[in-house]
Amino acid sequence: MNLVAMNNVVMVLYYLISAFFLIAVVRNFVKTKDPQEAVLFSIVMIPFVLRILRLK
Amino acid sequence: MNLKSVKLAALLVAGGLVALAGSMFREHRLFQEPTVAGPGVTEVKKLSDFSPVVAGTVNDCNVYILDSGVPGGTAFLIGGTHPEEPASNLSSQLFVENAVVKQGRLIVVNRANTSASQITRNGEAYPRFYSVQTPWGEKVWRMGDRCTNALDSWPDPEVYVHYPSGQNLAYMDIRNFNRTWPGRQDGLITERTNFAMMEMIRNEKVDIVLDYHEAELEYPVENTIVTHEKGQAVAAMTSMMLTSAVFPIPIGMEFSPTALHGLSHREIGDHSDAMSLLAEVAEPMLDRIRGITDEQLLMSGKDRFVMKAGEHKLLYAPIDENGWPIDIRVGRHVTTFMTALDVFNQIDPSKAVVISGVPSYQEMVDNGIGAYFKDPKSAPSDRVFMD
Repeated sequence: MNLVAMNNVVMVLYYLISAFFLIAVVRNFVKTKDPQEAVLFSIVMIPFVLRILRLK
Repeated sequence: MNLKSVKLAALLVAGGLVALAGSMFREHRLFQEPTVAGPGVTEVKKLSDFSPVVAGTVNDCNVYILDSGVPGGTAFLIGGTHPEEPASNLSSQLFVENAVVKQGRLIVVNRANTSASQITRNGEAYPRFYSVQTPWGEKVWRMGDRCTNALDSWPDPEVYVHYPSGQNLAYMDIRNFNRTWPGRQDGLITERTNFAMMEMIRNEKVDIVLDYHEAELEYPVENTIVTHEKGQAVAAMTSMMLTSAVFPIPIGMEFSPTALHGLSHREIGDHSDAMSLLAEVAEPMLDRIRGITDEQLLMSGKDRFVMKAGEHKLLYAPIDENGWPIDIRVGRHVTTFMTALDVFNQIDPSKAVVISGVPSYQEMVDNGIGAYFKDPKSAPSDRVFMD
């Protein structure tokens, strides 16, 4: 496997990891009973969404 | 306010922030910079015309060819190596829009690493755009980063092993267009872009290359020409002529280190017949100790913190309350290339590259560089190209 192919595989894994953490944060957001935590989780989601959408 | 309402409000605010930030990132990334092909431009190619390894990628940049039709040499001007150094691509674009070649050929790229021009440096609060006032209005360019956009080249290796030297360099330098020369045919996008340019340099039999840069005043390689051994006579004479007769602040000359790989001044000279030079000019916005990082600082080069460092003799270039305005920075770059060509032409007249139509240093300082950029709206559409 050449360098570009290896890089592409790792990049796809990286997006999957981002999606995994986004799902985890969304799950915590839904389950929490603490309003402060809910605000915190909603802020934490922002960079993951931007990355998955390939905006940043 | 109950929990459900708080969650809904938080989601709406977060969603709004994603939309706002996302639209700003997207606007910057997709912004098109018009370049008006001047009277000297005879052909505009894509980099992939010289090597298919960049076809279909963001780095398949425009290559402007100004051919006199008169036998002579070939010069290659590289703008936009590091898109956080605007004097680089502004200088090269000024040649595209104004230069007329009387003998030989001139090849120019304005956005050597287009990908790096589509993102700013993370965590540095750079402005997204910068502009120059012209007689016909404001002309806008993308502000960029030093390295290729991570959206186009990710991940970086733990250690970047330079090809072909095998030298270990910093991990992010695999995305630094001036650490990846001479490039690799099957490498990541930045290496492939260098490879395509090397193919162009070799196949088009380029004789002299100049790579435009800017540097922080805290950095010792400043206001200078860095040259491969092949270019020592040209660089030394250019430095002496400009320092004695044109520039109020001297321009130096130094040799490309033989043991430091990946840089244009080293690798182009080593891997082709061309002599390779690199020009540096001061850009206070790149200094670590700068104040507010905005377009005003970028274009005026005025910063009281950098000035204070200068008062304490901590810098490698002088700075006063006048700063380092973009007109002076571009004026120095353009005049450095013109003078280097004058010297080059004397060394071997059969390979001369004679250029006219380019403003002098004093004209650029007096009139501002905006006077020399053409209005894309009033130019014929087939003479306007997007970088």
